[in-house]
Amino acid sequence: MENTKKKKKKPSSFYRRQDRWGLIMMSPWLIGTVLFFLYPLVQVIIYSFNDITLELGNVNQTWAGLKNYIYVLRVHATFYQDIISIFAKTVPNTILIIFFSLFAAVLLNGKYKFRGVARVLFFLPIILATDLISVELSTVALSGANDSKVAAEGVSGALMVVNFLIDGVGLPREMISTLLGVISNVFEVIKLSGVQILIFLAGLQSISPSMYEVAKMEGATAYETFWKVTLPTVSPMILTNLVYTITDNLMRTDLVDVIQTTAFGQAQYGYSAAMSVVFLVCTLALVGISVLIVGKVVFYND
Amino acid sequence: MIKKNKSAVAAPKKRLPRNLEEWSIWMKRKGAGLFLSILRYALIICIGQIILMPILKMVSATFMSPNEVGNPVSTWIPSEFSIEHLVVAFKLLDYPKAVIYTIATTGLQMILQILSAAITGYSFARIRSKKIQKLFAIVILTIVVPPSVMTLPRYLFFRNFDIFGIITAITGNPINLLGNPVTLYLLDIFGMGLKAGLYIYIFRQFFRGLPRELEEAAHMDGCGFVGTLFRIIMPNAVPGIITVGVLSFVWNWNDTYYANLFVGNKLNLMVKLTSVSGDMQNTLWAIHSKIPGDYYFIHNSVLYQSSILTTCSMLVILPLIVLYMFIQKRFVESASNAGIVG
Repeated sequence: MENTKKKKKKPSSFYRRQDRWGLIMMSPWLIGTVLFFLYPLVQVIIYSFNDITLELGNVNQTWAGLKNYIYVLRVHATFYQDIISIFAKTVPNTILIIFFSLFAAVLLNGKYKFRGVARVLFFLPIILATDLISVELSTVALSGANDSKVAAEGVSGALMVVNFLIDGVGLPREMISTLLGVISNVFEVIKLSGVQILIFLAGLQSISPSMYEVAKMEGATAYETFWKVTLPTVSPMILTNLVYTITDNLMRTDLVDVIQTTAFGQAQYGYSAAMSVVFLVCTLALVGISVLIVGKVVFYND
Repeated sequence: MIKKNKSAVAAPKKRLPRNLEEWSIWMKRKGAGLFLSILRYALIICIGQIILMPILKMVSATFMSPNEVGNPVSTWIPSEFSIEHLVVAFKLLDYPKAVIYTIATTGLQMILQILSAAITGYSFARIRSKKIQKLFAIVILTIVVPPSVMTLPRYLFFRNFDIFGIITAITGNPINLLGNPVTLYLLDIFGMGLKAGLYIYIFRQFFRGLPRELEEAAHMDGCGFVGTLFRIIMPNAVPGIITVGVLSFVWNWNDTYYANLFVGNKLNLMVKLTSVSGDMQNTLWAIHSKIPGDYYFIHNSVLYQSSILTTCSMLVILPLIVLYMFIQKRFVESASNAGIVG
C-alpha cells in the first residue's frame, strides 16, 4: 500500500528530495569552496593593495594603493618579461599539444596488433608527470651527463643541416627557427599530452560505429570521414582540452616559483600577492579568449 | 569507376600473386593500406622511443658502477653491474621507511579525494535546481585558477588554524598545522585538494551518463539518497573511480608544491628528493660514514652527484611504475571507455 502511495506523488517529491539531499551531500564542497578558494582569492586581492608584514604568523597590513602593482610591473627586474615570455610560450605549446594529442588519440583508436602496448606507452607520461623528475628526465634525454661528446656531435650535425637549409636551399630563416623550436619541444609536448590523449580517446570511443557505417555506405573516403564525422564529434573535447592544457601549462611555469620565493624567500608578501593577481588575470584572460575563439567552431550534437 | 570495379572483382581472390602483373595489381589494392600501417608502426615506435628512452637511461645509470660513469665506451650498458649507486641512494632517501610512509599518506589522500569528488560530482549531476547548477561554474573556476595564486592565504590559514575561535578560546592560541599532513587531508575532504576540480568534473560527466531510472527504482524500493549513492551508484562507477583514483594517486605522489609548502615532512619521498637535489654535496657528505669503506664514494664530484640524483629519481618513480604495470589494463580501458566524456 505504501508503495503505491509513494508512486502517485513520485515526480515532485522524489526530485525535491534528491535536490535536498544533493545539497546536503555537496555541503562539504561548498564549505571548502568558501574556506579554501573564495576567501583566499579575496584575501590575495586585498593583500595586493597593502603593505604586508608577518609577525609570529599574524598579518600586519597597511594600505598602499597601487604601489605593489607599480613595483611589480615597472620596477621588478624580470617579472614583466617573464610573464610575456611565458604566455608567448604557452600559446604555441597549447596548439601543438592539442594537435598532437588528437593525432595520437586517432592513432590509438585504430584496430591493429599491439594496440594495447601502444596505449600503455602513450599514457606513461601521465604517470611520470612531475616537475622535478621531468627536469631530470629531459636533461637525461637531451644530453645525458656522460655523453657530452655525442651531444656535441649531434649539435654540430644539426647546425650543418640548418646552415644547408638556409644557405643551400634558400628557405627563410624565420621558418627554420620556428621549425627548430617545434622540434626541440617534441619531448615536452609528448610529456604534457597524456591526459589530453585520454580525453580525446574517450571522445572517439563514444562515436557510435553506425556513424562510420553510414559514412562508408555513402561512399566517403577515410579523409572525408575524419573531417565530417570524427572531428565534429570530438570538438567539445577540444574545448575541454584547451582549458585543461592552458591551465596545466601555466601551473608548471617558473613564474610559480618566482611568486613563491618572493613571498617566502624574500618576505615581500605584498609584491607576491600583486604578482599572483597579475598572473591570475592573465590566465583568466587567456582561457577566456581561447574559449571564445574555439567555442564558435564547436559542434554540439545534442 | 573502372578502378572500383576492378577491386570488386579482385576481392574474393586470396592467394598470393604469382607474376609481376599480379604483383602490381596486388600493390595497387593493398599498397596504400600497407604503407599506412608501416607508417603507423613507425610513428608509434618513434614516439614510444622518445617516451621510454629517459627511463631506460635512468635504469642504465642506476646500475653503472661509479668509476665507469663518463666512460665513453659504455653509454648504455655498463660493462659490469654494480649496486653502489643504489645503496647510496637508499641511504640518502631512507628508502623503505619513506616509501611505506608515502604510500600510506598518498593512499589516504586518494581515498579522500575519490569520496569527496564522487559525492560532489554525483550531487551536481542529479540536482535539478538551476541555481545550484550554476555553482558548477565555480568548479570550472577551481580548475582554471592556478593554486599558486592562493598560496599565501592558505599558508596563513593553516599557520593559525582555528574553527570559529573555538580553539583559541580553549587553549589560548590557534594551532599551527604546518608540517602536518592533516592539512592535505583537510583540503582533500573539502574537495579543494590537488586538481580536485578535474575529478569533480570527471565524476559529474560520468554520472550524467548513468540512467536516472536506476535511482528511481532504488527510491521505489525504499532506498534513501545516501543508500542509493553507496549501494547502487558507486558500484556502477568503477571505471570513473579507477580513472580518478589512478590520477589522484599519481599526481599526489608526484606533487612537490603542496608537499613542500604545507607538509615539509622529512619522510615524504618528494620532499626528500627536493631537499636532496637542492644540496647534494652536503647531504652526501652527511651520510658518508654509513657507506661501506670499499665503495667508490666521491661526494664532491659533479658527475657522481648527478648519477646519484638520477638513481634517487628512479627510486622515487619506481613504485608508480610498478603500480602502473599492475593497473594499466584496467586504467586504459576504463579511462578511455567511460572515464572522461567531454
